[in-house]
Amino acid sequence: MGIMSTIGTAFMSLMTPVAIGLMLFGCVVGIIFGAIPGLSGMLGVALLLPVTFGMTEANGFALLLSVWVGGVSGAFISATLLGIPGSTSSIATCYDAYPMCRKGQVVKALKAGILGSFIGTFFSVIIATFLSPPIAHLAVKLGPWEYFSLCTCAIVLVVGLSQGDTVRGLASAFIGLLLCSVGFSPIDAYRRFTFDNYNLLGGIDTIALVLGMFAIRLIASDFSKGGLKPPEMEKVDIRGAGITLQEWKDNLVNIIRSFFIGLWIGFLPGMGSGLSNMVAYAQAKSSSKHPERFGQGCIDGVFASEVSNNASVGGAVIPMVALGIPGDSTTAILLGGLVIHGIEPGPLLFDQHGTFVYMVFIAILLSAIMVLIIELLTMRFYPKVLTIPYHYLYPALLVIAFIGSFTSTNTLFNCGVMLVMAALGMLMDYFRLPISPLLLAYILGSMLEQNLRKGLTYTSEGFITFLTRPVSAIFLLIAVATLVAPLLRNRRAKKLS
Amino acid sequence: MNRAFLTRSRLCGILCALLGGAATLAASRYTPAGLLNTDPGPSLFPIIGGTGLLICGILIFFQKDRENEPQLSRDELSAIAKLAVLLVVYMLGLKYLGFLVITPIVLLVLSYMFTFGKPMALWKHLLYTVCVTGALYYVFVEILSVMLPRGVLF
Repeated sequence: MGIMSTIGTAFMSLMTPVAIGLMLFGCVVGIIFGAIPGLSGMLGVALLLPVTFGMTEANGFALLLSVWVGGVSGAFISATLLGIPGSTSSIATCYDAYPMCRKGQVVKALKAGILGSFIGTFFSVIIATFLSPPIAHLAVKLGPWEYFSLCTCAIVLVVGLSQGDTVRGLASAFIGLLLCSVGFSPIDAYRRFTFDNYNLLGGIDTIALVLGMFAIRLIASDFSKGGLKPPEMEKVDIRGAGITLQEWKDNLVNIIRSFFIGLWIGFLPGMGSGLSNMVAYAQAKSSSKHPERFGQGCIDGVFASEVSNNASVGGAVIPMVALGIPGDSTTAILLGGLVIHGIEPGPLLFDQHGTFVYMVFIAILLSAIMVLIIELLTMRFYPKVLTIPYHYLYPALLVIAFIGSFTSTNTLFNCGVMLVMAALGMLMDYFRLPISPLLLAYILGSMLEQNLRKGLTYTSEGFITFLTRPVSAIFLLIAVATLVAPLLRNRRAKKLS
Repeated sequence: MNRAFLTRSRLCGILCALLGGAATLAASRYTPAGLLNTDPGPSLFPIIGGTGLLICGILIFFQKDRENEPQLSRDELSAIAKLAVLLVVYMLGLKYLGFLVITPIVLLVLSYMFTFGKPMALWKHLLYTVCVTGALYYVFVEILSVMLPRGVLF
């Protein structure tokens, strides 16, 4: 089937009332989750993942992808109105959008966020649509050695971002590998760490792990601190002028640069919008003719942050569909969803499920358009959403988390696993062990082990083959450099001081 | 061991080392029959994870804690314990009483807990409880055809 007819089939699979309704619902849920500080689109995806079990793949993933897009976009709302980022993807947005709001430029700030989000998501997914097939074709030429090294590199890159504490990041990754080892081993289905409990034969459930480590942990942490107070909002007048043509012209280079920063960072496994917005903001400030304006209510900063964090969406989709490797935490959850729906991620995804892949791209594009329209039409209601009392919100989220973990395996044992994962997450917080390396290692662990054992089995040279194959060696070198670089940097800093 | 010795990093290091060591020992016994000569078997990967965690644990043990690191107060620990007990009760309630019986009770208790002593009319809590339970049941069971726990006793 030609590409155009595949795209046509994918498009028609989304042009049903159910699919469109689900995407609209997902966009709204995503925007709300993104807007409320402490929640995020990723949490929305995790909570709704079990709900998709009874749906077709197209409808289920259309829903999840729209929640993701809405969440990344919606995070700017509280960043603008309250100075509190809705999620890590909008930290840099606070620096200028909130001062703009305080100066009375609410409409300009909100519109910059809305339009910047749309530009980032829409065009990054169009690029992903064209780049993913050649990357996938290249990927089938890679052997288990290259995949093992790529997965190792991805995990180590995330470890390298562990705020200067590489050892703790590595410890977290190793915990993730151990969690992944529970159940039947790949290749020979040997039982490991099951303690004669049949519920553990399938391993630690992804849903239970994600819900426990994110939803339950977050809520328990907020509860222990005495809860968050609903933010106090000033009444603002949502009318007035938007962005001028001159401001668009002045920010054209900024937008394009921030776009490619977000696309590239989103593409790198393990990184995502949480990093891209900060990098793009820093670049915009250093390249600006008036860097002193940044932080005082400069629209350039808002564009830089919002375009880049949304461009990471398209960037993260490329390794997800082309290589079966998550670009960030949300795509890690989506990959888990693919497996649950019986679709094996990897470079053969284009050949075996081409229609599904293009459906993913089209769903994100349609979601971006829906989010744009919804946000423009509902701008005046944003302040009210942020005042939902937490004593209504959090109990409902806890119950939904229980339902989610129960429905994943139809056993209450899974709810117990979720609580154990929540306890583990809180312990890790206490000991400053980052969660992201654990999540990535857990998701990639099975692929890592399979490819390691295949790579060792296919030749008699043992591990040397991983170093003699050029692509594999490059990935391993990058991994080693990522681990060693912070140590060398610290040594140099100590010598200088 | 006194508190001065058991800093956060040392405790973390000990726990990581113990977990890593235990996993390595357990995994070293995984030796299925009929393995190919070049296949390392199912023990290699958990041994890598366990040994790596053991080494990281030892390194973390020798790290210094950050200055002015926020400590968990007794109130915070007590709050977490209360919530944990309630969630375990909820899980057991789901098993024995079913979703429709235990969920309103737990939602009522949770909504009180999350007001942190702020006065709120009982009827608001009850209305919230009934509406959320009903809405969740309807959405998951009737619309999405997802089974919810019915309870062993009913």
